[in-house]
Order: sequence, then structure tokens, then C-alpha cells
Amino acid sequence: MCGLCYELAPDDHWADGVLDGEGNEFPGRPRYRRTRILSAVLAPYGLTVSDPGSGPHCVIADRKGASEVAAGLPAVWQAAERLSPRAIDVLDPALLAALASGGRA
Amino acid sequence: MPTANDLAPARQGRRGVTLLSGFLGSGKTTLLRRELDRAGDNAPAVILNDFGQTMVDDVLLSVDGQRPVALSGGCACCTRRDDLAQALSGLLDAEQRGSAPRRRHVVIETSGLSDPGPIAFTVANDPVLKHHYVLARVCVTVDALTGLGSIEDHEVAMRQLLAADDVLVTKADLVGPEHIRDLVRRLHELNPSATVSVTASGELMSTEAPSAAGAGLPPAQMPEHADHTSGISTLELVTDEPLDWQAFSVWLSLLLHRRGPEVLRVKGVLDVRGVGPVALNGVQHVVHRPEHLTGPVPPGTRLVFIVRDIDPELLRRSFHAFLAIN
Repeated sequence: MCGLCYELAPDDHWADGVLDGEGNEFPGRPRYRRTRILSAVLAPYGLTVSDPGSGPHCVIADRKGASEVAAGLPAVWQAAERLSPRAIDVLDPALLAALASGGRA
Repeated sequence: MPTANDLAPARQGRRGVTLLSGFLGSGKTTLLRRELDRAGDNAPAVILNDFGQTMVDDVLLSVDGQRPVALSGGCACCTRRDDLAQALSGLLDAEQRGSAPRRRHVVIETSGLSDPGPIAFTVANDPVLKHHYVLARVCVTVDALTGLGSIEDHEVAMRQLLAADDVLVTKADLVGPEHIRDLVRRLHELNPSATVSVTASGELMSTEAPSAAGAGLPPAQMPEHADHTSGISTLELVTDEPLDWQAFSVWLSLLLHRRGPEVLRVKGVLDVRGVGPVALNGVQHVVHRPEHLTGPVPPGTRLVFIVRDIDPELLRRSFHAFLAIN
């Protein structure tokens, strides 16, 4: 837990175990990149991802205004599942088609 | 099984944990006894799990009069999972009190009916244990006489094999060399990422390196994917260009979140852009912390997946689609 803001820190996750080389030169770029990729993956499900820029969390929202705060990738998928009526799946042909067309669902 | 020297360099000061698994009667205890004899003063701490209520192997595995920690009457992957966590905590307590020497390594001999996946999860995710222990290897014994039959007839035996980093064929003196050759070839087909060693009476006779990923062999030596019975497929994902870690980690985390039980094994070496080679190792939905490699590694990414009821071609397409996200 952060001693200043009392935010619960996410558990250690293997995805955070690789020090991205770009982070040394441009701090924040790996985080920006992850947010961008999450946005591309969740857009076909009608969800958006935004990064408040501080703390370990991001915000997942649907088009009706519902949103959830998620810290760490496992929490992102759990929040997205609650907000999306469709199951989010890396093998979903609709998702793969959207990614192939540059994110257009 | 790794030697005492192999076991020594536990990462980041944590004690290395080796899971010794294998189907009922496949020679786990015989192998471990020999290893403990060889290790001498460097012998690891031992936790012994038996499905039956009555434990006999703890006497056989005593080191300097100290019996191993015994978990009987169930499997450490399910009914005795809490007991396993307590046993590992107990070893730490004993060290702190000075009633036991500090061991740099722990061997958990699982029951013959245990699935290594949940045990690995316990070691990797327990809020206390994960700071003191790190999973080093999963070693699995396969009986030269009956092992293949067990793997075909019992799902848990197949899960044990697929979780293995090292497969140890036991009782090789009971069958002919041709049988051993066929068995080793079949084991390599089923788990291309594992080293296969042949032993007799606990003594090592020969070792063969993994047929894919870990050994960095060119893809031509590995079938693109081989279909096995019961819906299990092996797939090797290869890229020659360095990959984007963020795209890869988002992809794999979603794959495991959605289809973790169907991903039986993932192992390989990634060529990460701006970082270099990184070793990745996962058993079912448990992925160990990736390890930066400093030694010479062939360029490119080679990742072996063993999956159940997943279309390998769709998985390959998905992998490349995520890596192509701008």
C-alpha cells in the first residue's frame, strides 16, 4: 500500500518482470505502450482504456459511462469482463479481424 | 535430476524449489535417495507428500537422522495444499530458530497422483513464501516399463509429463535399448521443451537436450504442430525479429486469463526488443517471473506451447496479430 495515497499496490505479476529497454531512455513509454495496446484490444468490445498518469492503475470504461479502476493486467481483464457483454478472448475471430484492420471493429 | 551444484544458485537469495513428480511407482523415491546420498552436506531439505495415510518413504529419505517433512493422506496439489504451504513456512521457522541448518534448496517429492501445476502456484503466489522460495525445476520420473501406458491412460500422468523441465526415465535396465530409444523419442514428441534423461537404479545413463525452444534448435527440427490424442497439441511460435514485450505480455496474460486451464505448458526464450534474451517458463496458468539471460543465445524468439482443445493455427494467428499492434 502506498504510504501517501493509501492505494493498494497490485500483486507482483510476471508481465512486470522484464525491464523494458525503452523505459531507461524514455520513462513512461512502456506504460504508454501498454495502455495503447490494451485500448486496441478492448475497443472491439466497446471499452476504452485511459491512464490517469499516476499510480499503478488505469481506468476501463464502457460507452454507457460505467467504469472501473484496475491495477495490473489480471485486474484489467476482470474489469473488462464485468463491463463487456461479450467474453474477451485472444482467440476471438472478431478481435483478430479488428486488429488486422487496424482496430476498426 | 539436477545435481546439488545445479541447485545451488537460487535466484535473488531465495531458496530454490525442485518439484519431483511422477506417476505412482515410477521411481521418485529411489532417485531422490541416490541424489541425497551424492549431495552429502549440501543435501536439500525434503518435503515428502504421499497419497496414503501411512508413510514409509520418510524413513528411507532421512538425512543425518533427520526425517523429511511428511504430508500424508492426500495430494499437495489439492487436499494437502495448505499443509504444503505450512511445511515450507515451517522450514523457514526452523532455520530462524536455529533448529535446522539453512538449506539453499528444497525438494518436494509429490504424491504419484499430484498435478504439479497447483503446487507451483502455491510456491509462486503465496504472499509469504514467494519472497523466500522460487521454483527452480520440475523433474518428472517416467517408468521405462509402464510409463507410456500410464501417460496414455491417466490424465494426471500426462499433466505431470507436460509440466516437466526434466524428464527422468527410470528402470532402464529392465528394458532393451530399442525400447528406450522409442520411449525417449515419444517423450520428446509429447514435451519438446524438456530434457530427457535415462536412469537405472538411480544412476544417470544418458541425457538428451530438449528438441525445441530451450535448446534453440532451428524450427525445421521441430514439427510445426503434432496432434496427440485427447485434444493435446504442441505448437512452436517463432519470430526472427525482436518482439515487443508489452504486446506479448498483454497477449499471454489474456490468453491465460481466458484459457489458462487449456494452456498446459509454455516455455521458451524470447528476443525482447531493447532488452535481449529472456527465458519464460509457465505451468498451466502459473508463469514464473521471466529471467534475463546473459549467456550466448541464438537470435529470435522460440516459444513452445502445449495446449488442450485450442486450435494451434488460431493461436499462432492471434500471437502474430497482437505483435503487429502499432
